[in-house]
Amino acid sequence: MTVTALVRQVLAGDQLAERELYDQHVDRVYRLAYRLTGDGDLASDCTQETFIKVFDKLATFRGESALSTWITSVAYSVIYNGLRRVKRARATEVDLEVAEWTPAKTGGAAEPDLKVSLKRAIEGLPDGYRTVFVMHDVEGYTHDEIATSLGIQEGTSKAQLSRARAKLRKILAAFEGEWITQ
Amino acid sequence: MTDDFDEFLKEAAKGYRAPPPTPRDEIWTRIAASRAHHAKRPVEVIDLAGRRRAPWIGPLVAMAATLLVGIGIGRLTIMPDPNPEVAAAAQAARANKVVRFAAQEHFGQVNALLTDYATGPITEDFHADARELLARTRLLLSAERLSDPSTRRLLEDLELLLVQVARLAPAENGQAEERELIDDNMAERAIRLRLRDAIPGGPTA
Repeated sequence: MTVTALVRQVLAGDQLAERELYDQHVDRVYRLAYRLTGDGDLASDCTQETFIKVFDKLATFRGESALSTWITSVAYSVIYNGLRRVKRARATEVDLEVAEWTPAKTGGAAEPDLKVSLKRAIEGLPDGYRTVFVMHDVEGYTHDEIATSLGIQEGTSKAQLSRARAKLRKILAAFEGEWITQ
Repeated sequence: MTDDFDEFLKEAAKGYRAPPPTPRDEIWTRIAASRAHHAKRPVEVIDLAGRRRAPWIGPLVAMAATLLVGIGIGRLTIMPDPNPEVAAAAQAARANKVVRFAAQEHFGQVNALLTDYATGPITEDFHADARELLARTRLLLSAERLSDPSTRRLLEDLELLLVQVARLAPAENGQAEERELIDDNMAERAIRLRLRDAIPGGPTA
C-alpha cells in the first residue's frame, strides 16, 4: 500500500490502517525518544503522545516531506517538551568539565573508560549539538531529514554536527591512539 | 585523521543509550485508550425546561452510586458472625475493595486526562473533564473506607493538580507560566509514575 493510500485510509477512520501506520513508524520514534531521553518510561510516554498527535493532525500532512520525516518532526517537538518537563527533576546534564577527565592509560583496559567517557561527553554536549549528533551519527538520519524535522537549515544541521564532533574529539583526545591505529 | 575519528566515533556511539525493543503493544494500548477517552466525551444534555445540565453530573452520580451500592451490598451480604470483631473486619475489607476498585478506575481516567493535557489544546471539554475528575477525587477522599495511605496521598496530590489543571487558561492567555507550574508539580511529586503504579496492568482508561 502506498503512503498516500495508507494516509487516506487512516483519515477515513480505518483502524487497521491506523495500526499499520503505527507499526511502520513506531520503532523509529521510540528509538529516537530513547536515545534523546535515556529513559524507557519517558520514551514510551513521548511515543504515545507523538502518535496521538500524528493521528489528530494527519489531515494537515500535505506530502511536502516524507511521512516519516513529518512524524519525526512531531516526535521531536514532543520529546523536546518532555525533556523540558523533567529536566529539573532529572538533572542528567553532565558538565563538560566533568567529562574532560584524564582516562586510564591506553591499552586493553581502556575500552570501558572510553565508553564511559563517550557517554559523558555526548550527554555534556549542548542540546542542539547532541540532538543533531544522535540523529545523524547514531540513528542515521540525513541532514535533510534532520533539518526538516527540527525546523532548521540543512547547513545549520551540518555545522552543529561538525561542532559536536569537534567537541567530542577534544574531550576524547586521550583515546586518540584508538582511532589512529584503526 | 578527522575521517578516522568520525568513523571511529560513529561506531563507538552506536552503544550510546542503546534502546531496548519497542514496547509496541503496550504503547498502542495506551494510545487507543486515550483516543477512546477523547472520543467519548459526554454530550451536553438539555432538559425539558431548557436548562443545561453539567456533563459531569451523570458520571459523578454513577460513581457515588457505585460506592454506595458496593458498601450497601457489603453490609447486606454479611452473615451473622458470632465474633463481632471478625464480622467488622470482613465488612471493612469488602468496603475497602469497593473503594479501591473505584480509585483504580479513577486513576486510569486521570492518567488519560493528563495525556490530553500534554498533547492537545485546552478546550472547554478538557476543562469539563478536569472539573469532573476533581469532583470525583474529592468524593473518593471523603470515603471513610479509604484506608490505604498511599492511595490517599496520591488522591490528595491529584486534587491539588486537578485544581491547577481545571483553572488552566486557554493557550492565548499566557498559558506557559501556568503550565510550567503544573509540570513542576507533576515532576516533583512523580504523579505520572505513581499513577502508572496505581493502575493494575498499566493505564487502560
